[in-house]
Amino acid sequence: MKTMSHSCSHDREDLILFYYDELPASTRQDVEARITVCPSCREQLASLELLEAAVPRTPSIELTDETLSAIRNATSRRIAEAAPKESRPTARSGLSLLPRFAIAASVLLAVFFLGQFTASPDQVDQAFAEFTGSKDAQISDINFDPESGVVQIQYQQARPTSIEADISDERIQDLLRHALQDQDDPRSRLRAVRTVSEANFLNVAPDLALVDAMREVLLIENNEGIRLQTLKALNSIHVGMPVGEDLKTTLINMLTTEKSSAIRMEALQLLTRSELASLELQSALQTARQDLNPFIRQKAEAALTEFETKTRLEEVK
Amino acid sequence: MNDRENELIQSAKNGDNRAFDELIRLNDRRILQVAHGIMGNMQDAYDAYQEGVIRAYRKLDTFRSDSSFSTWLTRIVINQALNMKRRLRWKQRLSLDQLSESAPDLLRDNQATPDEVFVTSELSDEIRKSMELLSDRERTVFVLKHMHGFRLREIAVMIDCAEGTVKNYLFRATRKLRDELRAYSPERAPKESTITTHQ
Repeated sequence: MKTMSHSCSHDREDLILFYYDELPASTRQDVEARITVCPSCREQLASLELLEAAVPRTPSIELTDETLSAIRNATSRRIAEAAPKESRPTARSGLSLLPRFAIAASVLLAVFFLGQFTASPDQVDQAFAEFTGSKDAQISDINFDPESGVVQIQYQQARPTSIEADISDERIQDLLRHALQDQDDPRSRLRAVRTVSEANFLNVAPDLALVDAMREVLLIENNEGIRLQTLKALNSIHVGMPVGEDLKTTLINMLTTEKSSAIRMEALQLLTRSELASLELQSALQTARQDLNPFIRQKAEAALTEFETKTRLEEVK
Repeated sequence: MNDRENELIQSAKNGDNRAFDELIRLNDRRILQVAHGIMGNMQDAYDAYQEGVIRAYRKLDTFRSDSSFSTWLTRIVINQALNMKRRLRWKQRLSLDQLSESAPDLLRDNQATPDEVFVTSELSDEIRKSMELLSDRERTVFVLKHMHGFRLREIAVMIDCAEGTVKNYLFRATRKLRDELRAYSPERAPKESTITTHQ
């Protein structure tokens, strides 16, 4: 028996144009006919669908009305400054400073507040206790420095206060947990989860209570972006680590109920880090094999195949 | 081009800034998104967009109705974005120490602020890295076609080249991304078809 590679001689570029609906009707019909009979062409088309699953056919950023409004105001000001056209030749140099000025201003403000309110170690302890116990204290910013491992949380108080500590400090992890669970502003919740994600990059094991809080976020958080970031953070935490039973149950539920394919994909990835022995998980994977997203279908298929291989190997032993 | 747009263009050409503002507002969301696709982060996208808009304002007298205002404006912003990418690359080739205090922000590609991340559709790091492997023009064509669904003939006008050239950019971009995707996830990649014969 001999196996040989089969290269389709059909025009592959036609398939790309077919995929992007750029072929004239007559050629399109020819390509459609070809796809039905040529397995290689079908595979090529499937690979384009995989590409679509990885890079969605939507803009790479969504702009909120608020952001757009700020940009419009700044642009209108620049247009007004640029008029009359011939008499303002230097207006452009100021233009590129605008966004940077806004960003730099916020950084300077933070430094200013820090300079004013840096506290003694005792005061820091007191502040930890105060903010851990308070559900009302609203966070204005959370920063993490990957080089030093220091987390800085800024609170919007009558007297703005900033707390800094190493990520391995349980108290700062506690504040991050509260930020995830109690902050009204979704941006603060998102910053908290991103900090957890980045901290894990330094191989700092998070407190179990924090991991549990993240699982709770998956259950109760309305914001899809935050749920997705939480899954990403959990994925980075669980590299080489099995997923706990409670989290596994939550993930199985997400795999079958989440509308966002990006979330389902992250949930599946996290699930496949865990032991595949559970019948419940296998059943979820069987369902995922029918998912609308081809990435998820393939990933589920691969996980099931892996499970079957392992089972057979164990039987042989 | 509709009557309202024509009216706005004429008013803007006669010095009515509000008419020009209105023309920009009809297009700004999409154009910012295109700029973001090319630049990879919102800060640079915003710079390219605003420089492009001011340039369009200054060159409005040269606008002729052989393309839509939207296509014309997109073309100007894309040019700004591509020029900015070139400048950034040139700066990156210099020693980082030679850059001014404010420049590092420019160089931190894809370092979106938390607020930006909050509104950004998620592309995985692997895909983002793959996108960075594309040339500027390949990425631009891919963004315009794949993410925004422009027709190839419109893209040709926007990046000022022949439609055949646009196709070539698209083919190359698609192939590169598929290959990268295959490398990223071999178990998901479609296998070459085989024929089994008995001898």
